[in-house]
Amino acid sequence: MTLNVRQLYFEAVKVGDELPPLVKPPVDRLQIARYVGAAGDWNPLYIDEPHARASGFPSAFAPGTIGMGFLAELATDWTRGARLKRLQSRLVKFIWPGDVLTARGRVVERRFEAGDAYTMDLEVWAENQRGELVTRGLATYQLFYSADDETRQRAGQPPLHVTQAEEETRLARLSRAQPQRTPAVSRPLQPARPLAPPTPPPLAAVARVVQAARPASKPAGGARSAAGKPAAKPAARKPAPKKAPARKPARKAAPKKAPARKPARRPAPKKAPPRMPASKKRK
Amino acid sequence: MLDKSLIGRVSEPVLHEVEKGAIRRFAEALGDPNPLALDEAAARAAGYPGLVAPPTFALTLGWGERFRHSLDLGTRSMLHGEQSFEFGRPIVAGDRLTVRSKVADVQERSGASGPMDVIAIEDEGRDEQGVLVFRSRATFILRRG
Repeated sequence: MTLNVRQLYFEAVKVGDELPPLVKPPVDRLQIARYVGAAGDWNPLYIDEPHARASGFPSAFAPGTIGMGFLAELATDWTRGARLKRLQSRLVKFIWPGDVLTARGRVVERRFEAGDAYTMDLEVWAENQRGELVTRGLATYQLFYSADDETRQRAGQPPLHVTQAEEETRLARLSRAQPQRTPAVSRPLQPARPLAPPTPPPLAAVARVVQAARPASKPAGGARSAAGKPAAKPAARKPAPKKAPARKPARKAAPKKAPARKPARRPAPKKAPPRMPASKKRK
Repeated sequence: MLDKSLIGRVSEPVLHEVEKGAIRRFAEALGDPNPLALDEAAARAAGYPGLVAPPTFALTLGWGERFRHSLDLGTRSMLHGEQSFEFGRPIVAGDRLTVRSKVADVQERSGASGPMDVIAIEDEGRDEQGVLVFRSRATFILRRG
């Protein structure tokens, strides 16, 4: 097995690049038991059904970190060869036995850091089969700029020095040689939201991170709902006023409900649920 | 309510020897087929001295039961709310990491089912040269009642 066949280089990464989704098999009770054992996380709520029920939960549930593990699997597979500097996640919703999680991700930032550290941030998240956001996170990687850069660094030489300006100049030259194309506009999934430490300090060098005092994390609830709302609201508002008057301006509530009920059974799964639903509290 | 004076409480340093079997079992439990975590030959071919742990394997090296018991958190339901890691380098089989844990924060928050306590634990793992390998921060929610 050759592992370096597929390498991800900084020069090939664009903000907005999406990772192919990773659909995991159902998280069944056997997997929960195996994971709890492997992780050494012996919270009785994960494995002791009577205890979970007595504590007010409908059943035992999976450790939230298993979803984070799926995000790491997705990101590690896509970024092969890159160095993971930081992985943050918020365990938003319970993972119940039998849940099918899909891990997704996209590049939200790409930056030239001091010391020729070529860095990118991936927004990663997992949804369950009901389209609910289960886990969301941010993964920060450092990459080789190019194959040339990797060769140099593996030979013990300093990294290739490329500035943002140099890259832009080179790209501009390349695009002039090509016929004009309208850039493919991909609908952003969701504006990036800061995680626990609102702005992670730039990871210029590990040493700096080690020394850096981390900002105290803010109350999750507040940050979450504040950032989640603006994304969700405009989307929900738009279609409503358009449709309502068109159908029957006389009544408001009745016509709205009637057509919604019929197709509810079928198109529900078809209709892509909002990819990043405004996350609230655990239910 | 949890005692705010827990903030700053630190654990004894705990030495963890990272075993390849533990890495393999962790990857298998996640269903992660990454050969670097399962196949030693593949890991060596990629330039690592042994199996490479999946990132969240660092959870297994976090605060131990002894430290947890010393904090006397009671028997309330404990929910893992947030988790983050920083890595100096990947964790590989054969690593001997010394991990220190500490209570980074204790807070009271109001939730749907009444007030909750939130405790943040930070772990730091260093190798035998004292170089930082990983740092972890976990937030747990303790329900009242």
